Amino acid sequence: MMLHIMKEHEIAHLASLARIKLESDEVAELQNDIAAIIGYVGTIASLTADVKSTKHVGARYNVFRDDVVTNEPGAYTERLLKAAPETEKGYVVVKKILDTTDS
Amino acid sequence: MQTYTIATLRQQFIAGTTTPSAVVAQYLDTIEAKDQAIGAFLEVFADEARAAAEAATRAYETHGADTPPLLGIPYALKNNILYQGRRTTAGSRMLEHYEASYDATVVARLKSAGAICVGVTNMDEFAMGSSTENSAFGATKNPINSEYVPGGSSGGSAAAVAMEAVPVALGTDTGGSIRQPASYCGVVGFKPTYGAVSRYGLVAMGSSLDQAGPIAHSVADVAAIHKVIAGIDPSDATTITDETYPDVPQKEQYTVGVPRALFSTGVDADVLEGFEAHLEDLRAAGHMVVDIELPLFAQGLAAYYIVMPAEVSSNLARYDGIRYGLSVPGDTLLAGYEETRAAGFGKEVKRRILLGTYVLSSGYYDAYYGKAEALRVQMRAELADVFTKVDVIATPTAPTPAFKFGEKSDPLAMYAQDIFTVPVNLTGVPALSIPGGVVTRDSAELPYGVQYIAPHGGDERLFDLGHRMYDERSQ
Repeated sequence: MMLHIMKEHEIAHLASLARIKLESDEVAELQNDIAAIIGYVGTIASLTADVKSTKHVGARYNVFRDDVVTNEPGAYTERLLKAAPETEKGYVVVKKILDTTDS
Repeated sequence: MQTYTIATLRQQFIAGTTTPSAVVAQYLDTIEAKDQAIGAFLEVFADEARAAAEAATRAYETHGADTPPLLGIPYALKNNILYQGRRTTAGSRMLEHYEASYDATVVARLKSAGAICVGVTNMDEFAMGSSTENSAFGATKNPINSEYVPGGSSGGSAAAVAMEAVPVALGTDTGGSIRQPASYCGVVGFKPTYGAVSRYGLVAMGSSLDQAGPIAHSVADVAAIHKVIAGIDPSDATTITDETYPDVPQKEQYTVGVPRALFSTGVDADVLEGFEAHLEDLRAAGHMVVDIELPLFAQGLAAYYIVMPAEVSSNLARYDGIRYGLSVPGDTLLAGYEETRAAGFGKEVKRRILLGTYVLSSGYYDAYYGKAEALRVQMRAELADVFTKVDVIATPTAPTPAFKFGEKSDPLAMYAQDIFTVPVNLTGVPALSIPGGVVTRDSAELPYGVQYIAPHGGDERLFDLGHRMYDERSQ
């Protein structure tokens, strides 16, 4: 098992990619945990395998259906909107992402 | 509480010697009496179950045997399987108040067959764990001895069956999460061939690994449930038919392969002794037991703890506080995501998401994920080759019996519990865990399981051998 070190900024980078805010004590603990686990799973590097040839799992075939609408319009709307934290006039409300103050 | 099987319940319901109302009442009494101490259930549907039992009782009076095959049979449901209108939490604060907007296919099929869901069971958060200690809603105790864990992640389901709260429960298995808790609780657990059972309506963990399956007191009961829930589903494009794989016939005499090199270290001595005794039982029953080599099997754990976190990091990206689940406000959209996910996910979940993010990130993708996926293909080829020489592979289900709460606080020590179960998920073959016996620890008699593995599509072969080696011997 190779000794692997995870730096604080690496954990911070991963947390940013994963959209999770971490407290500093969490970062420290994760540094240890992730380093230990990567150290263990890193043994996979010694495997001689052609990585390029393998991008599937199991029986490989496509499953299609006709491109037609099968539900009644609005059949699930109320039920699905009920689960959303904030809705307005049948829409899910989200924070603004486009700055439209200057045109 | 008498141990009912599905067959005897069905027989008695048809004959009228007992009724769904009486039986459901008994099971609800057991839950009332025992579950405070054990904590198998997150929620019990007492009123709904009684009403359904009443309706089933009347149906049997009028129609007798001309009723759906599981009418009146109570079951418990792991809380990561969607049951419309009910809270489906996946053991997480992220989904603590989420009410399922549809039924999982397995639930819909059990409903059509007349089965009665008595309640939903506790689990490791998002199915990540081997002890049910990672639930956001408290631990479940092993009904055999309360100092010990029931296993995980389907610990609540296994405990519910072991404590006689229900005759059967559904769990899910991504790396052993049906088989290992079944092993720890002394009951039967089954992971189908990947694709045999629809994943539509399962809270996704590792989409190339997950399967729902039954936990019960007998292989016959497990087979009866599997028969109802299995089958192609247009809502899950990974489901298979009977034609997908070549026939895996049943035989009078099976050749059972044992990958002995895998047990040379790390397996509890008493479990190993019990496993060897089981191999003797196989020989005595007329089967052949031979040694086999599965050199790649042992590398499965490393591959699993790359592939599974990778898939987890992708599957759990949907929990963003926008369309459902916990929503913590932030100043910006991004802040909202980061706060919601910080508050909603527990420690193990965060660990695995970050691990998955790492192995999928630029510069590491090929070295970790790419290699692990390549290993999966090689493992399938290795298995296919071994299955030309043997009919079934046998291993202990887990390297140890149940451990005590808090004993496996180091993540790697916990992950090592999965060594015999994860290669099955990585390759997609079916596997069955049957009780093998008990080992004595302090004053506790802790169960351990024996695992049988068959080729793809060999689910029936496992039911056959399991029935002969367990059901028929424990009568």
